[in-house]
Parts: sequence; structure tokens; C-alpha cells
Amino acid sequence: MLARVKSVATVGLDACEVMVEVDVAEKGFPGLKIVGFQIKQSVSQKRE
Amino acid sequence: MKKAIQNSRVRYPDKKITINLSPADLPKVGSNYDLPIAVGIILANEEFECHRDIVSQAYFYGELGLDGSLKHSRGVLLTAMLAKENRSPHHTTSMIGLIGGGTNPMPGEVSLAHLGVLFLDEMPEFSRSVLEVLRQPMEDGKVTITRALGRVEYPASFMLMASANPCPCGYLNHPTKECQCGERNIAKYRRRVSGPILDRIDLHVWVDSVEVDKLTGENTRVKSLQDKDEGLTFSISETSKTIRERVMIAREIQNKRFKNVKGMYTNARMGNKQVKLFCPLNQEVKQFLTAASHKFDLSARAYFKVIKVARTIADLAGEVNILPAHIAEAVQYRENVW
Repeated sequence: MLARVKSVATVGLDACEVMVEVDVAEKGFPGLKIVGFQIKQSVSQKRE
Repeated sequence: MKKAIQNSRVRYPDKKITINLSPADLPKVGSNYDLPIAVGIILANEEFECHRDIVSQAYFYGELGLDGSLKHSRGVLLTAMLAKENRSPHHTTSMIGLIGGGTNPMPGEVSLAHLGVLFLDEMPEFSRSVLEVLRQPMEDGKVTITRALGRVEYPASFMLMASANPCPCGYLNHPTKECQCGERNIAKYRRRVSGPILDRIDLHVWVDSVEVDKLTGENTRVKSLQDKDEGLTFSISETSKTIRERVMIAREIQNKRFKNVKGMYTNARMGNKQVKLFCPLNQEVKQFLTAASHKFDLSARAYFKVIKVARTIADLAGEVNILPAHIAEAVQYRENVW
């Protein structure tokens, strides 16, 4: 099932809406994958 | 995040989880998405029951500790400012954009402005059909959208604020410039906002154009100082700060008035039944109002709206009872400036 949660990215003094979409699939290997991060370092930090 | 969810005694789904943060091109600080991602995982896992409609309206932002606690994060104030709704849609907005809709009905501007302000700048420039759909939310404080997928109800209790030029060129009644529009064009322009919509607007105020040096504020201050030196009494209009204080007091009075009525916080939200209950009028005031409503040909809706506005004026003045002066002021705001 898909869930959408609103969050925020701050750019300087501006706040922009960010949509966090989470899909929990019934099939497939258990695991977590994040897309949409620009900085690669952050992705590797967020495996769990 | 997994530990944070588990340590909050919520089951973490051992399934394939895919997370997308959009738009992807915005720079994002990783740790601040712990909370929205965790909330998303819990929501996407169907087992968990919660108020999805409330959750979908909120903004989530913050870093999580392993125990599920929230850590300090920067940017919370900016997030709060984004969440505090003050919507001003452009006049090219479509009906669906304003009211909500789509195949999977999404809330429109009126719902995003819930408990906030919906500001329509240049109201006559909005298309007529778009403006007419505002009638239901303006009356009921909610919108019902019916689509093939089903019926959805979104809250839409907003304060409508709208501005308009007096005529297409904008110079009607201007002290120095001449209006070129002609009566016919002016009438055509004004017809774009229908009577029923105007009838639902409580306060109609004509605002004269502002001179440039008044806008900068410097000249007026100098002038009042000079007058003081000469010993003249000079009345300076109230500042926004003192008005705000009075509004806060009036809001407090209204909160107390409606403490036993669920979901009602302001005079504006009263139905006709509550108007009769909370706004008793003495004989003199009643006669005055009846006379005024005959003279200005007020509709039944306008009659009750005048009482509500008069109640608010009395609250702002700190008066317990509605006086004829309050009714007079409320009626005056209904006068046809448009």
C-alpha cells in the first residue's frame, strides 16, 4: 500500500513542500530503498 | 528508523519498502526526513489504524532517535510558517484547483485555507463559474466532492478576503486621474461577481488609492511630531499592533461564548439558531434593525449576518450587549460599494 506524508525542505529562508511517498509491497525481498535524495552520502546513511 | 519504529511498539513491516522524496531536485538534509518516512511506513502498513485524514494534512519534519524520540532540528519555524495557511490563488485557478477534485479527489485551495485566510486578489478576474462554487463552502464550512470513485468531504472553513478594482482601468473616483471605462463596461465588469456571492460577504469597504509618500510612512510621522510641538491635538489612527490586541481580546470573548458548542470558535460560524441564542437584542435594537433591513432591502441571510457582524463589533468594543450603534456600523459595511 502507498502512503503519502508531507514534509518540508528548507532552501535558505524558504520552505518548500516535499512529498514523502512510502510504498510497502506485498511481494519482494524485505528491504528499504530511498530515491529522491540528491546527495549520495545521505542515501548510504539511510539503509535502515 | 527501523529501531525507532520498533521501539515505539509499532510493528515494522518486513516487506519491500520503497521511499520517494519528491521533488527530487530540492536539496534535502537527510536526517530531517526520519519522522515523515517513519510515519509513511506506519501508514503504508495497512495494519495500523489512525486518523488518516488528519495525518494527510499535517507536515512532518524531524530527526528520530533510536528510541523513537524526536531530536532537535533546524528549520521547524519555517515548516510551521508553511503549514500556517494563508492561500492566495491566482485568478487563472480552475474550479477543481479551488474546490478540490480530480479522479482521486484532492483538497483544493478552499480546504488548504481551512481555518485560515483565502485571499482572492482581483476577484472579478476569476471566472464566474469558479467563483460560484465558493457558495457551498462559504455557507457550510466544508466541500463535498462527488466523483466516480466516491464521495469525499473536505473541511473548508476559511475567512474569505477579496479585492477588486472599481472598474477595468482602475481609476474610477481617482482624485487626479480620469476613468476611461464608460458606464457600460463598468457594469459589465461588476456583473462578474454575482449578487449571491456579494450577499455572503459581510464587510464591503471602499479603499481609496494611497499616495506614495503615505506608503513610506515617513512624512506622516514628521507631521504628527510637528503638530505635537505646536500643542495641537492630532489623532493618529490605530496601529496594527493595538488592533491586534483588541482582536485577541474579542477572540477570547468569543471562545468563552462558544465553549459549550463543539467546533465553533467565532461569531461568523454561528447558524441562525445560535444567533438567536447568543445574540439577544433588546426592543430598541430590534426595531432599529427591522427599520434598517426594510430600508436597505436586506435578504434573510443578510439580516442574520448583520447581527453577527454587530456582535463582533460589540466584542471589539468590549460591550456585553449589542447597541444600535453596532447594528448601524454593521449595516453600513453592507452598503453597496460594488
